[in-house]
Amino acid sequence: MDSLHTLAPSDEELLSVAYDEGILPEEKRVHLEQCELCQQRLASYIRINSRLLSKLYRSACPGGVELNYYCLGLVAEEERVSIASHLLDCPACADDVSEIRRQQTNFETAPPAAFSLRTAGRRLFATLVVKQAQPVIRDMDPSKEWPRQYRAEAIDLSLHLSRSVNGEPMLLGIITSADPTTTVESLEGAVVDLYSARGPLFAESEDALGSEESAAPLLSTRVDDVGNILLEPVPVGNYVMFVRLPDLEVVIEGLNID
Amino acid sequence: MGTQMDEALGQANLSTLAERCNSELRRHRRKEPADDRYCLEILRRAIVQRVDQAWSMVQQCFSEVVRIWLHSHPSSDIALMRDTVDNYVASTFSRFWYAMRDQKVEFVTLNAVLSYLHATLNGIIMDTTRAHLRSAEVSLPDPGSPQEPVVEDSQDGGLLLEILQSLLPDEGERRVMYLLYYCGFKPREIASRFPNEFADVKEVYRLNQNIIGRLRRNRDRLRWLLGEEEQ
Repeated sequence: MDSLHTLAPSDEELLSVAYDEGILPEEKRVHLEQCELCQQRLASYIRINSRLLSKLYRSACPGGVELNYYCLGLVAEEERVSIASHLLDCPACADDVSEIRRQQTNFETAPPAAFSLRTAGRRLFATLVVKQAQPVIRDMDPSKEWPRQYRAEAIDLSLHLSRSVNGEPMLLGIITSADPTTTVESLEGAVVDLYSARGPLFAESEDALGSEESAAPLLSTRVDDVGNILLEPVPVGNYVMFVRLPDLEVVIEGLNID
Repeated sequence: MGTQMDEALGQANLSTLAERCNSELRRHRRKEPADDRYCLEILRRAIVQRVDQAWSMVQQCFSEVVRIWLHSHPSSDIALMRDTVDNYVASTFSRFWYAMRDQKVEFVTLNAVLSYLHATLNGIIMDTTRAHLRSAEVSLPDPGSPQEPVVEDSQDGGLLLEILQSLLPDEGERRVMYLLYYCGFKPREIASRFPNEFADVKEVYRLNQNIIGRLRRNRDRLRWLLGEEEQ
């Protein structure tokens, strides 16, 4: 290292590159690209920094769960004093605690509704009712025709694809119940969520299920006082609709908007 | 009236309680008024009375919400690179159970239960991201391998930091070692956060270079840390 080229970056400059923080002057950058020795110097700094970080990083800090419980006052007196003392010295943990407190202040105990087959109380997949009297046309797929009629036990849902005044697709629905004890008033206010369906819904694999669970509804609305549902604008795509009734969730799959 | 209700709850079978608990959780999610007592009763049986079946019911009732939190967590990408959803959910309930048992927490609202459960998951994800940052850097020698340290290495990270800092005579170098490698701050962040300690980022780089130089001069003792290529 004693006979470095005059254009070779200094050790401090190489460290700035190792941390992805520095911008070398053009001639030094070109030199670094061409000089094997300087590349080795840089690699050595990166390596030793990584090794030190991997051994030392937060290695004696309280765990994340302990910090979270500390913020909730859920730790024993001795641990509370110990963590409080640690926080005075450790800016990384102080940052964590500050962030945890912010999250806890803003914590929404009722997360947005999501769907999962495993823990649903009572969830029904609505079936598409094919009108027998409809003329059958060759290559006609009833699942792509509008309007559509769906049924889940006593719940009937009629869906229409229409367009708003500015030409954007919108889904219109009307929900009714064949059960005489279920009045339309009892359906009023039920939340209707429309989700983008990425690939087969409710696939068996964990990954597929996870990806659907993490989705937020694209559109949400509520059933009005006469059972109407309006969702707009609905971009072209494949969707799944959830109608969240008081003790039942009705799932309508295969809503393809072309 | 309240006492009668409490008695009725105490005598209700678990399946009924779980059904009502699920129903109340759905109401809670829709932000409608929910009756917390069914969920709290199952929890009481699980944690205070230690009824295994009640604990299973608790997990069934609350696992969906834990999954939702996990998927919506800002660090979920990193977390899910390192473990499965099921394992995070299981770990959350496990840590939650021990914490509730050890601290003898008595929940009075569903919101409190959800807050503690969320705090548990959040802490587990924080631990995972810390571990990810450590392991993403380099793979260290396997135990027992020729590169494995004899004396200097320690499972106690605090002790290891002390040992390494003892090789640094300068207070500023010891401080930079702590902030860079223990806290994980970048040099630029150190300079901006601690302007009373460091004039500028160049000073941090300079001290960092001194640290590495001193460690290299102790390469015989630190071969395990510096690796063969640093010799």
